[in-house]
Formats: sequence, structure tokens, C-alpha cells
Amino acid sequence: MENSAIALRGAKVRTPNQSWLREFCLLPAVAWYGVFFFGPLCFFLWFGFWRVEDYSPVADFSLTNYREIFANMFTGSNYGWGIAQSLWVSVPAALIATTCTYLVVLAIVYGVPARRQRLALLLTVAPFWSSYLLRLYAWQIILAREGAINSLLTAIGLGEWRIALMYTQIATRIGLIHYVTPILIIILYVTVSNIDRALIDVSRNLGATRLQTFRKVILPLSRVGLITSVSFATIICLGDFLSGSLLGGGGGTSLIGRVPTFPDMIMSEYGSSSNLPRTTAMASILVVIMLIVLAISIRLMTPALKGNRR
Amino acid sequence: MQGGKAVATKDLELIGITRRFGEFVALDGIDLEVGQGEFVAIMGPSGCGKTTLLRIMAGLESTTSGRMLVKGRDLAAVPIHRRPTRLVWQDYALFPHLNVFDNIAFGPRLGPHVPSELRKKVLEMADLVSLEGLLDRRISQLSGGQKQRVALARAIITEPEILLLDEPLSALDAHLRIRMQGELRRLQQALGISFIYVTHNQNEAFSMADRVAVLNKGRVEQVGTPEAIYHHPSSRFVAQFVGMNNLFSGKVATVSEHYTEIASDNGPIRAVTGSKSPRIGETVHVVVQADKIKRATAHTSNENRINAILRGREFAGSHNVYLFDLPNGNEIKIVSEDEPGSPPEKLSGSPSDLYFSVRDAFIIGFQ
Repeated sequence: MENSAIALRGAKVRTPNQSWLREFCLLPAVAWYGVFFFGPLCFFLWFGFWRVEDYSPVADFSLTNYREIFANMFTGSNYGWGIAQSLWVSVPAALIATTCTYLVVLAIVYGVPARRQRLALLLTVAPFWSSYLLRLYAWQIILAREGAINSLLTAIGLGEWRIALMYTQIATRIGLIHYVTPILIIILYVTVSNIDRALIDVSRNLGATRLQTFRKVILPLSRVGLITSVSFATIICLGDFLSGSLLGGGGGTSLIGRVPTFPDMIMSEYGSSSNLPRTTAMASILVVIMLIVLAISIRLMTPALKGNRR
Repeated sequence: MQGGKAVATKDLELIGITRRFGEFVALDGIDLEVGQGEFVAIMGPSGCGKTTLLRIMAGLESTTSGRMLVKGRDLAAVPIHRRPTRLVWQDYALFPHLNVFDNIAFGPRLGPHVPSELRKKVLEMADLVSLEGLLDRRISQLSGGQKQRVALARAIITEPEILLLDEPLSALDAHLRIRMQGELRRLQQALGISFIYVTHNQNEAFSMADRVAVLNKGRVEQVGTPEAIYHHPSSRFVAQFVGMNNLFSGKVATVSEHYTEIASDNGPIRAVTGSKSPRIGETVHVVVQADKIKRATAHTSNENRINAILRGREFAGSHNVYLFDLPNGNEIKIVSEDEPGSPPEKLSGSPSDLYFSVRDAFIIGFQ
């Protein structure tokens, strides 16, 4: 140890990685995130602790807002039910979106010839280029009581099978899934296409059937990508209110009941109440929930391979 | 060749294996037999089809035509995961999400197994390939040699009838490579199963294999013991690919009991007359190994003599390789143990008188 320390001091060589260019190139990114993300975020979190006097916010460090919110968790405004509704909408939506996307990605990576894969990927990502709002209106047309699906069902004489999805949280989830899948496609494509093909050959050669190879090689090696994609989708869904209001109709029905999602509640408070700091405190709670989702996913990602599983 | 009926004396029979990729013919009617517990090396330059052939034997690649029998059983209808041939990959292809133990146990765990017995078996395997104490390691914590052993253990534990190895030592350093050669050979003898070993490295092929098959452009050029391939290459390609051989081409002038004389661009050359002799006027090649050509002295006579111009010297540790230009523009190599005195730069460009014995010249390439 001592020897190597001396040797290091004796011959100080700057590798390309240690160049001052590195700091220099990082500067714009650091400045950008500092000014437009970290700074506002800090202010935003602080703003949640302000008071309101004569209809205008006053800088303070008061817990009144949070006390009011937590007092109204399961009574009055029912924020707790809103959070529950949000999770009940978002987590299944994220799981369904990830499962569907994973199947599509497996089909692209293992079913499409290599030179066509880029095109296939492009086509699956294409919906991302149309406006999210427009996509939601399109879904309204499809799902509405007299919409595309129901008209078709009536036309072919299956009138009694008409669906009533509009203004339910199922419709909300449909909108969200359509929103996140193009992003998940990219995450999962990178994961699956990076799995060494030789490992699949090895598995087959060692006696594994196709299904065993999927279960014992492809699936475990997709783990990190799948967890990333579920948590990513959950966080996006938790923060979205457009699908909840346009397709879910604000307080869309679900197993939990006719309760709006938490972002929906934040939006209506923002529109109606004059207590902006309290609305901000609600949003801060949403941010904390997202961070918890992120923490759980990072925890799940760290390999469980520490001990010996025999 | 109706190998289907001849039972169990051969571990493997390839009959007319052909593989086309569109217009390209990767393998063109490969016939090869591997006896019981034989170590066969398949050798050839890159692109000769040797890896494709190995993948076909492993069931990972399909054939255009031809048959493959293992212990007399045709494998055409056997799905990949039921084949008795295991492949060891060039870059090991270990499962990165599993530790050493789980990598080795991968095969046996696919079927019904008793965990305690499996554990015992894995430990035995680890013992066999000297991996004791490394079973809990992650793959990323292993050295190249250790990864190689894991790959071997993972294949062997499934008790294959034939082990296929695709240049398994090429990623190791020279020292380790030589050690692993010995270990592989020992392992093969201990297991008593056939090894088919693909390599472009003739030292590896010659030091381990019972027999060597030389592949070129999807065809088998020659199959034989390392000695036969080295000393008696049967084609121009083998002569050039194996060892350090020099080739002289020309038309047969005279054939006598003891020697055959060939009229080459570089003057007449006499070679031994073998059991088969070429016809007069036929174009043939004469093979002379690089260490059989010497510099002529005043009292060497009655031998083949050629004039050549020294081009350069390559120092190869225990010996020197000298490159000469022949009058017709071709290049020849001679290997000599030592050449004390004259420094190479002075020698370069100087005309030399070379000779080789009639006994060391073989004729190949006639019908």
C-alpha cells in the first residue's frame, strides 16, 4: 500500500477522464438543473410551509397546511382516498403497460430480423409524436357511450355487449398506458437487445426448452429493465391528471369508488382555492410518494445475489 | 457410407454435411468420423466453416443437407435441448446473473433433481476442474482461466456424449494456454468421452488431438494424426497452412525408383518417389519443411540446390526464421537454430546458395 502510494505521488499522470474539460463540459448541465430544477424545487417545497393572510401568501415556516391536509385524509376532502385512488390507478397501469411492452419488445428483438428492428421500433414509438391531449380525445371518441366501439358492437348486432368504460378509472388507465408505452418500449428494448444471444444458445445447448430459457435466462436478465420501467411508468402515472379528468371524468368510478385521483384534487384546489401554499403542500406530498416509489425500485434493483441461493 | 446400422463403434459420424447461406456455401459435403473417446481437432483458417460445423454438431445451426449420427443415432429429428452434444464457447458465455455454483448447476436443474445430490455433484465437478472455494463467486470476479473452467464444468456436469470446444483457449494468455492444454487432455482421458476441438492454432491442435481434420473453404482437406498432417500434408493448402513448409511447383520430368525429378522455375528439383508416383508431364508441388533447407557449403553435393536472395530475418526466441526470394519471385522460409556472427542487416540482399536433401522433399497434388 505504502509503496503504491509513493509510486502514485511520484508519477502523477492525468488520464483523459481527469481533464479539466470534464468539469467544463458538465457546467452547462449543472447550471441548467440548478437554475431550472433544483432551485425551483427547493422553493416549491418551502412554499408549502407559507401562510395565507388577506388572500395572499406570506413567507413563513408553518405546519398549518400539512396539519389541515392530514386532518382531511379520510374525512372532508378525503385526500387519503385520492392518494389511494392514484395508486390504484397508477400501479396496475404501470404493470399492464410494462407487461404489454415487454411482450412487444421480445417480439421485436427475437422475432424481427436485425435490419428491420429499427423500423419496428420506430413504428411502435410513433404515437409518442402525436399530442397527448389529442390522443386522449381520440380515446374519448373510441370509448364514449355512443363511441366507435359501441357503434360497431350495435352495428354487428352485439348491442347487449356495449361497454361502459368512459368516465371510469379503467378509461383513465387506458389513456395512461397509451401515454407511457412508447417510453417503456425504449427502456425495455435497450435491456432485452443487450442480452447476449450466446447465453440463449448456451441455455438451449445445456438442455433448456424455449420456455425454460425464457424463465431462467431472459427474464432474470431483464429484471433491472422491468423494474425501471414499472417505477418509471408508476411515477409518470401518479403525476398525470389529464387522463383522469378527460377519460376518467374527474371522479371516475373504480373499486375504490367515485373518487378523483390525487393530482385531480390538486388541480381543482389550484383552480378554486385561494390557498396556494396549501395546494403546494399537497403537491409536495405527491412528490414524496414518487420518491418512495423510486426508492423501492432502487432497492429491488440491487442484486439479491449477496448470499448463496442453493 | 451407411453409418446408420454400424452400431456404437463411432461416437460421431458426419455424412455429407452441407450448409449454404444463400449463394455462399459455408460447408460443402463434410464427412468426418470420430471414434470412441477420441480427441479430434478441427483446424482451419478463419472463415473455413469450422465454427459453423461445430454449431451444427451442437444443434444450434441447421444443415442444408447431410446426416449426423451420434453413437449410431441420427440426430435430425432430435430437438436442440435433447441433443447429447455440449458446446463450450470461445468467450465462455457464462450466465452473468448467476454465481459459479448456479452456473454449473444450470443444466442439471432443468430436469428432475435432488438438491442434496446436485450439490454433491457440483462440488465434484468443481473439484475436477480445480474450482474449489470459488463456488460463491460472481462471474465478474473470475479470471479468464477460471471462467474457462466454469464453462467446462457447466458443460461436463450434464454428462454429454460429445464435448464440442470452440477455440476455448484463444482468450487466455500464452502461459495459461499451455497449462490448460494439458488439463483439457487429462480431463478428456478421465471422462472417456470424445472431444471435438475447433481451433486455428496448430500448436493446440497438434499437442492435444489424436487426430486433426484440416478444413478449407467448407471442405475437409485432410484428416489424420498430427504427425501425418505435419510430415505428409496431402494437399497444397494443408502444406501451406500447417507447419512452415515451402512449396515448389513444376512439371514432372523423370521418374526413377529413388527419386522423381521436377522441372521448376527455379531449376530441377528431385524429390523422393513415394508408393504412388505421378505421370511424366503432370504439374505437381514439392513440399520441403522450413527446417530442412540449409545453407550450402563447399562440400555439399548431390542434393537439391537453389539460389536465393536473403530478404530478412525474424528472431523467434529459440530459432531464427530467414526469408529468401527465389529467382522466380516466390518467397521461401528457412528455420535455423542459430546463426552466430553476421548481423542481419549486412546479410540482407546478399545472394545465398541453399540446399535440401532429396529425402526431405515430398511430392503432392497429383492425381
